[in-house]
Amino acid sequence: MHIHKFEQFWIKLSFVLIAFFIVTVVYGFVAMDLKVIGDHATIDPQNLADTKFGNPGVREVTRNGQTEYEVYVQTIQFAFNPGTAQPIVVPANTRVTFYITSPDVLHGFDVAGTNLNTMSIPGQVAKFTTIFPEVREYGIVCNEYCGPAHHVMEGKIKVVPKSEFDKSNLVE
Amino acid sequence: MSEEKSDNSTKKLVKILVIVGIGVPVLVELMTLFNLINVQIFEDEKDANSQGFDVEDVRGFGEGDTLFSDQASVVVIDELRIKVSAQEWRFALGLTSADSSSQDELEISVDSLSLQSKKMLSGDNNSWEVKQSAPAQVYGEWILPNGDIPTKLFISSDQKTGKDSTKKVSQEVPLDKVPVRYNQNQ
Amino acid sequence: MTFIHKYPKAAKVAKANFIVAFIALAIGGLFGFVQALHRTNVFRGFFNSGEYYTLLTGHGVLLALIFTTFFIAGLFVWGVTRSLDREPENLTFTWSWFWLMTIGLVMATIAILGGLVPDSSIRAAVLYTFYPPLQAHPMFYIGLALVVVGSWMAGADWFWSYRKWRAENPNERIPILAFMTLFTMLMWYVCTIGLALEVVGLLIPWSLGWVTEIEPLLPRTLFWFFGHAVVYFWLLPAYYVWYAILPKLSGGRLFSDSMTRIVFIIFLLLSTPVGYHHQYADAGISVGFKFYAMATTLLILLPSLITLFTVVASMEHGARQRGGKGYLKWIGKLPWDSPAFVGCALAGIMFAAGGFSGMINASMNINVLIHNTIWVPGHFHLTVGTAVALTFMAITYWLLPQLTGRKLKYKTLALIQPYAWFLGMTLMSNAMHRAGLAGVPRRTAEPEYSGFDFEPIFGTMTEMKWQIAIGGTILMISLILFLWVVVASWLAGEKSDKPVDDYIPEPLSGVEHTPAILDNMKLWFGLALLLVVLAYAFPLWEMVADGIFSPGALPRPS
Repeated sequence: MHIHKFEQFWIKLSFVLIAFFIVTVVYGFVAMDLKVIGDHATIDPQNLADTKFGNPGVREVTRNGQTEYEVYVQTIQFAFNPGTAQPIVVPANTRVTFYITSPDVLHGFDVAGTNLNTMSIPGQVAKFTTIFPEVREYGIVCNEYCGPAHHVMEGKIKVVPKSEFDKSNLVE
Repeated sequence: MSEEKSDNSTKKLVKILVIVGIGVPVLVELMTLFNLINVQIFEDEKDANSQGFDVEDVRGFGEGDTLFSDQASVVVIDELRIKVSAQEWRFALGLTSADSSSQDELEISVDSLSLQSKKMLSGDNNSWEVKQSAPAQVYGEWILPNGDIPTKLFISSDQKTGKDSTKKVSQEVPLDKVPVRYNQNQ
Repeated sequence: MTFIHKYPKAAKVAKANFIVAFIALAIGGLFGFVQALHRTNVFRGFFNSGEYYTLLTGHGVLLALIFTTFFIAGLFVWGVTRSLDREPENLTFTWSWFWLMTIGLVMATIAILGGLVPDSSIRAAVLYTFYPPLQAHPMFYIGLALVVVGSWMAGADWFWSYRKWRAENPNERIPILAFMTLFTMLMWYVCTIGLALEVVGLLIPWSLGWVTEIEPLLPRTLFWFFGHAVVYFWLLPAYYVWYAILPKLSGGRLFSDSMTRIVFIIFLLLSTPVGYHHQYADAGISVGFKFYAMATTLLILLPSLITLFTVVASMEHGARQRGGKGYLKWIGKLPWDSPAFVGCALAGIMFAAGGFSGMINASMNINVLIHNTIWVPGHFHLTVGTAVALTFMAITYWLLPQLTGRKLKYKTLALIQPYAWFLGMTLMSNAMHRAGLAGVPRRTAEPEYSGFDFEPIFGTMTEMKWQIAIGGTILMISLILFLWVVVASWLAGEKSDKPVDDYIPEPLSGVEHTPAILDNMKLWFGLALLLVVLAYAFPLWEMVADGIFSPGALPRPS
């Protein structure tokens, strides 16, 4: 087979480019802790009431001697519960783990402008952990089409200073 | 001769097309690139949060709020919701008159609804003038144009002004974000 | 003598496919225009936000599934007939696949447009990805299944021609146009396995009510088994045009026959195992499989990069034949006044840009930033919306005269059209990408929220909205120009024995340099199936091990 020398050079360059991209992603994983959603657990979407999702909200847990928070969120047509009726309130500079699932159809859970962005699939629990470094509010958008009122589905996360975090709203 | 002329005009056209059709896109992309680099290098972590976003400065009415609060008989909103199904959008409103003593008849009517699309929906296309012994609960549903959301209600109620005299009092009720939920019963 | 005079029967088949394709393009394009104005709140008077999703479904299905499939069928009928020098083997069979696809298309379209009729129970506002548990009317799924079955028969038709040709030419190499057609169809057979399993095995019985529950993740995974390869099913015919015809349009010859074949083989092998890269943000699929899909996805850059080289080299050769000189000055010698050339060249440039945003999408942890934002449609309007659609439109200017025996009319309008498309798409897509970075979601009627504002890195939301609306309007104008030129030429173009120069020269590095193993279809098809099994067997097994319909969710009408 005849491959022109310029073309051979180009193909080698292409491989370098591809390797560069893979290395970038791996670097993100290892050095910057940029993870993606993985396989966590399945759940019966018609019986969320019997699980922690039956009483969704922010919970306090102790892990390795540290106080951390878990947030259970149900995405329903057309609201985040919690998130829409009342904001999800979490303290800054603390590990927060989100557990998200849906009892009805596919939804998205995207904290606008950040890389907190996951699908919410009936039957699957999405789990991710983050630390909010600054005190501010974030909008939550449903970014997967979920029916005729999809565009009104929004919520809010309110990050408050650790000292001002009101524990009376935690759920058991 | 004419061949040459049309050739020249084609050349001119191509020139214009290349300038507008390719030049403008290249310019747009270069500006984007410049801005991206500019933001990355010279404005590290721009103080986005400083502008703060208190969008909801004026809070409207929602579930649990009281209407006619300065009148003799007050009314509480106990349901406020948009019920969406594949075919239609319905606006549901439920009211309760809070006290039972001052009045034996409650009369409330929703005169009209003002929608997000700036359309007005007349209240009486779903007749909803209720006379009922207090404490009373009333409930009504309106079919909305698909995708539309009420932003303001115009409600009136007969209120006692003195002994045996009543007056029709109207209130504009600007609404807070109305919860939108899937209509299970459809 | 041109195509219609030599092969009148095939010309008729190709024309029928083109008619359907262009009607779908007209309706789907109009819906797109309405959406561009609605989403940006420039004008919302046509439809309300509840109906938006019906239009969105129509836009996606009619353009991405119907326009492409029918145009490709027409293009391949032309290419197979011409390169093997034979009319279709059995016209009853040929017309039966055409009508089957058409019936399917009509069924799906009725189901979608039913959503615009008040109180209609025939609805399909499920978008072109139709993820359950949102449920469409059964007619929608059955219609789509018929289109796919029709496309399988079309592929069989071309393999039939090939076998007959092979029997008569046992020692010939597969002509390049036929080779590209057959390998594209082999890839289509591999990837549509997923779609067939999803639609026939799960969605049709479920939409008919034979089963009530469905596990959402399984059909979603099967969809993406098909859903990325379908992108290459659109793209490979555009490559077919860039490899086989564009060099000729630029005045030269294809650079290398063997690299062309290698590129198509790599696409056959890698198109399907990459599907998980649409599911990076899904719970229920382990990170390891996502990583495998990412590596494969980035590898599939290779054939596109090779294509870039070959196409540019072929164009440079053409420009030098026309008297081009210097390192870059030759670019000016290309036929920038030929609508067919300009469309293909601009489509190619835009594909390079789309490739860059595609690399971001492919990089799994960077993808999270833009997953399901308007960045994504911004990306694929560069690839399928321009690289594919503009190439198809441009090559119509060259093919239509061959199929109708009529010269092209309104050449000036035809010349303006691709430039306008390029301008409109740059404006629209640039703003969509930028808005996506701020988190603005895709597929929504009203991307305005009451509780918060999006914070763009630079620029303002208002400016981006206008850029999208203006870009969309220019695209609509470009589309009208195209349809006008096509209809006018088709009905009233000047009849001619040689309405266009349809000669295609031999490649610079010809088939005599091409190793025979590249033509071994059984080998490559088998290898492609093996790679699919490696990528999909285990995760699919994990999903069905607890029951095909479990954990089950109840249907929700759309």
